[in-house]
Amino acid sequence: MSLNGKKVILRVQDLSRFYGNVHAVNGVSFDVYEGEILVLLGPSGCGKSTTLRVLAGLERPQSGQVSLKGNAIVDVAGGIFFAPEKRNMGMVFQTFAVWPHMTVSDHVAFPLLVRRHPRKEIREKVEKALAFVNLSGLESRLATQLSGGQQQRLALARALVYEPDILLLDEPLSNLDAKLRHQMRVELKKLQQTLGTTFIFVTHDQIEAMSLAHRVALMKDGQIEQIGLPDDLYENPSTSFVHSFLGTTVSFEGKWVQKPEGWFVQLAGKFRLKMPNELSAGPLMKDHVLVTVRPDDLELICEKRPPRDNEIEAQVESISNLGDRCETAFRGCNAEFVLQTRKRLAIADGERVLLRINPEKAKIWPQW
Amino acid sequence: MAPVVIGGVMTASWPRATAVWTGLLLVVLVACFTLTPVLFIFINSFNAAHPAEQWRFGLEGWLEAFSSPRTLNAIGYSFLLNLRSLVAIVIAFIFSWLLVRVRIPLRGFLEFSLWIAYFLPSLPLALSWILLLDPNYGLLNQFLSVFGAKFNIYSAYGIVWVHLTASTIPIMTILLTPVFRQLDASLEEAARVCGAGTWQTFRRVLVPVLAPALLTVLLAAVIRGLEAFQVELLLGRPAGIYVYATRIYDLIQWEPPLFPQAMALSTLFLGILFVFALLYQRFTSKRQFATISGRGVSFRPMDIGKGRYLISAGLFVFVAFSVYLPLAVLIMGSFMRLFGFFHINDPFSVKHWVVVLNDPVFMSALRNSFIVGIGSAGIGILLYSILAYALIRTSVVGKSWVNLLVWLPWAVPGILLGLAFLWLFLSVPFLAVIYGTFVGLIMVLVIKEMPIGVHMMKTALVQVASELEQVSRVCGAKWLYTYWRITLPLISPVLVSIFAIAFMAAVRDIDTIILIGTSSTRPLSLLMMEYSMAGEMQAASIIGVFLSAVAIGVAFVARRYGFRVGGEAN
Repeated sequence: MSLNGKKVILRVQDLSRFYGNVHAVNGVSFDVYEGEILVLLGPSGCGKSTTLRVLAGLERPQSGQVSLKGNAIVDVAGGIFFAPEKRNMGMVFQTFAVWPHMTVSDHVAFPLLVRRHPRKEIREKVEKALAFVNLSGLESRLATQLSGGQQQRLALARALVYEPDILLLDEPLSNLDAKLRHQMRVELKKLQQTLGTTFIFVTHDQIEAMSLAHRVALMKDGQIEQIGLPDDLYENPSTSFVHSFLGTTVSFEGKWVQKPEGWFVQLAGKFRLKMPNELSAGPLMKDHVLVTVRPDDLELICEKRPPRDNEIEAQVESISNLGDRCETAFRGCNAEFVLQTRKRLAIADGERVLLRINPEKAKIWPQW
Repeated sequence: MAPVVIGGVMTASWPRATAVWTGLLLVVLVACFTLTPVLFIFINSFNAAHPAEQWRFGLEGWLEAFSSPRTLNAIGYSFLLNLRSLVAIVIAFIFSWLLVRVRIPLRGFLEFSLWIAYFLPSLPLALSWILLLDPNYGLLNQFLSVFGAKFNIYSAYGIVWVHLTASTIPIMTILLTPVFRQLDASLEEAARVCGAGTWQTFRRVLVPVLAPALLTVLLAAVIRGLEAFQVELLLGRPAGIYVYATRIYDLIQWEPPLFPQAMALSTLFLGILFVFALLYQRFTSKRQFATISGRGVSFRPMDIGKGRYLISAGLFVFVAFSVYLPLAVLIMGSFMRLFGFFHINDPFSVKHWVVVLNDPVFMSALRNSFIVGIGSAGIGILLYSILAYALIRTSVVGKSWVNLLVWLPWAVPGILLGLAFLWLFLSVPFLAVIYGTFVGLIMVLVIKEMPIGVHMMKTALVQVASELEQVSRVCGAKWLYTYWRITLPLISPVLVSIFAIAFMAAVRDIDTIILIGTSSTRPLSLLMMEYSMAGEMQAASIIGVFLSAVAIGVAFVARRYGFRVGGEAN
């Protein structure tokens, strides 16, 4: 098995973790390839962190198997469950989990110490690891005296110094302020390129996911909705949830209707979308549909004329000045949505305008 | 319910003069109640005069006290018996870790059982251990004799055993579980993922991180242990084992009482305890647990597979030995015709119950217990909340002094506090009216529980963000209205807890009030002590059953409505 010739390093099959009646993780399967960054993305409570904790050995699943480099580390049916310390994984926690009683170098030495490495080797490796994350010179500081960004880098050094097979990152950037978060994201990506370590990265932030990931697994309600390359998920979402979670979407409810000219989606009011031919398999599905479209694929037409096909009419609710552009709220077609608009457009509050939907880009999802 | 601190704690800024005068008044008032007994003991240890005579300087008390081998013996035993705290903290550490971090069956029940143990008076438990382990007739000893073994409860080991099971381990566990609840679990998890096993994680991460908290709990246990009195009196005396608290009691029982010796001995221990209390206050006031933060604290108890049943069973055995077995035996003992005589014909009878329940002495003691309990808990809450409010929310001068003075009663063992106040009542003219009334008892008990009460109240107030009060003031509410409508409701669970603790402390107290209780104010606890010293064990155990029932009720109320430290998992 391979993706661009890469080997599978971790295989997860049918993993489930319940808490009472809550299915935190519900039958999840995926492969992780050597050297990639796989991002587990999803809203809070979707099971991404629990999945990661099961992989780390911090939670016991009720069913499923996990194998690392071909060896089973979890097999519920077979009664196999490796303790966290037996898995040779690294982990960076959301709170960084720095130990308040230890200095910076104590932290990095810790994993080597419990592995009984020789003293000299420990000193060298600690020095190297701290230099790698730009913490040289702070060796004798207490970890709690470091800034948030430094604690984060310390947590990274501690998790990487023993060259784990996989590094697990549980929302590592969410406790940093916005500027630092962006900077750390870039650093993380560079670090991974240099080391080539496999990363499994959990986040709820789609920008983080898109910018870091080689592949993204989008989770919802304990299951994986879609897994693939970031662009694939963005361009070819397999569900309306994926479409609206990755970037913003505007959605309209509608209904398939057949006319002599072809198939249309009839929206609220008299508006309709004429669908390109390759989508005409759609009508075989259910009648009611949800149409989702990216704001970028809605074109504002400032002309006074009746709407044509693929056009809807909407009323301008409010215009907010953002400086270089405006944010305009519209209501129309039983929907309310906000679009970024250019400044100095000849529109005013309460005015009715036309919006053209790009039918090539609109996604149509059967409803019921 | 845990009020969230949104902003920092801000203090109302008072005019300088007001702050100085109020602060001074506060220092003097608190010193009146807490420093006076200490000074009294210190000064009177140098009194060479006869109790009825004028004070006269002399070192006789000190010389006699410390030249007596019995005193030295008692000091030795006090320290020796307190080594149990070291054993207990290891066990309590493991217990509380298991209770918080591991998903085990019956966890709620096990924790609640420890709460019951926390509230149970120790004397009845000692009585039932006598029934179980008396060298002649003890039930367990009869069982053990099959194997040729025997355990004598009237020994140092016996005292340690009763303390460990009935109080030291349960109390430490109860104090440590919230510490674990507030500790970010990812500190442990990070160590595990890094490759450290359970033992390494304990040794290199958990113990060092929690060292301040562990030391605090250990100190608290040693302080409480040094003043322990009831069990030592009941189990130690027959074997000739005296600790310093029972030795002081003994000296006072002499005719005429050997007050100077008692006071000299007390002063030494006051010094030692004061150092401990000071250390304790230091640790609690600046606990810089950077780890204890609400931010993303993850904790879900671990799943450990089948081992959870084993752990649960182990803890169950412990609570059975610490609570349920002694309680069952106590109830059985109360129905015995002759305490401990299992071999006589028809050993059980309700005779003693009928006698006790029809005894007006019992009924008045029951009434007295409730007066003392409700009185000291009610007045205590009022006083503690005023003190805590002044310390947290106002800018009065001399807060650090008040803080120190408030802790002082902790360094004064109950028996000494009682003794000091007895002397005060008898020697200060207008205080003599108080002697023999409930006012005296309640006053002493309120002072005794002051450190815990004020500390809990302060912790609660700190957690109520001052913005919540300020917004009410800005909305137009007066201070008192704000306090009544905003502050009190927010800390009400803590109030319930403090009330429960103060009430139970008062109801089961013996050491503090044994010297100042009179026949008209004598509560159940003193009556029980008198019965057991007089050898009327059946009557004592009947009262023990009553007090235990009250304790279980209070534990239940505290658990149901009280403050849940650090929140409960699932």
